[in-house]
Amino acid sequence: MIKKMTPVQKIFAYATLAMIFFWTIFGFFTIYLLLTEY
Amino acid sequence: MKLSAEARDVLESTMRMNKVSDAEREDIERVIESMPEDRVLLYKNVVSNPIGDLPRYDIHIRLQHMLTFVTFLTLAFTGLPIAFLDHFWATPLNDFVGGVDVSRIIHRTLASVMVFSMVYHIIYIFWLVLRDILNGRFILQRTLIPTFKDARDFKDDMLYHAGKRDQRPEMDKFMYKQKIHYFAAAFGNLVMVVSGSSFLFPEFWAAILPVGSASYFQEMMRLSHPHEALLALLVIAFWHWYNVHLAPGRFPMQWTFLTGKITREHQIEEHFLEYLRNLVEIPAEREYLLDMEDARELSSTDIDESVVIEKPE
Repeated sequence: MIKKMTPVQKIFAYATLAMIFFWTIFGFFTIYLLLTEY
Repeated sequence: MKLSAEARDVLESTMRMNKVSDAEREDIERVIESMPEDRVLLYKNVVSNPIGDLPRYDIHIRLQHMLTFVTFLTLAFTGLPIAFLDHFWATPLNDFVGGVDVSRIIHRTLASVMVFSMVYHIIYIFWLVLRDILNGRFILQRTLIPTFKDARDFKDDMLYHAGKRDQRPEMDKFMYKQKIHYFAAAFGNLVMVVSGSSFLFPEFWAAILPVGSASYFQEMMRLSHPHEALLALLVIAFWHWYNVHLAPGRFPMQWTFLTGKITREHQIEEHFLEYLRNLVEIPAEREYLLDMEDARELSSTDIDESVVIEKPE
């Protein structure tokens, strides 16, 4: 069992997650590029 | 717990390497003895600090990862609009940083930081290997170098995921998936550096390549630089981030890249052999484990056969 994160840790972790979601959309965008360009 | 021959080897060699005293050896054996046969019981019951309990990466490795991922993302952000310059979406992205000329300058500057990070990493791991060999502490299985065991672990892990085995294989500090990922990243990095440098220094490459092949090389590099970049971005977004952020047990984030520590739950589940080394090297971990097993009545040495311990979900 992993202990609960403190509020500060939680904010940090979810903020990082939000950032990678931005880049994941960029990842989807690369699929669009692959499908349209090549 | 009765250790497998492989795990026993790891334990014995770690104890030899750490020159443990007889009293300590007895202590370690008692802890091993007390562990339940079912490792699932063990890792489902230990309590972990979300930011990690056991050492995994030192500050240099964390710094190299940090440098690589910051430059990687910003290189992708500036590189794609350069590669797809005439596309409708590329203009606003280039304008965002001040035009394509600025994109190019940022891209090249960041590229040199990424190359620095790569060189830093290569020198550092060679130094680590040298240091460990000189100290007589080098263990091939504890490094990222692939071994036959990885192929076996892969097979056994697939069988586990298909429901044909009830335990994950006993994997080392780096499991098969991490080794594949590491060498994929190393290969990608090399392709990006070679192809990128061929745009910046075409004369250099023309000078060292056989006459007649320099222009073919340039054309190949023109193709491979953006393609490898897209591939790398896809791998990072859909494979790496799944494994370290989204996978069950890791969500919302695995803190190892910041704290350098791994949770004991994760260590026991996926890196059991490394956990055995932790038990030898960290006396507090042995104490913790014995206390936990006592508190939860998990100890295999005092299990009352009439009591059925339910496996937690």
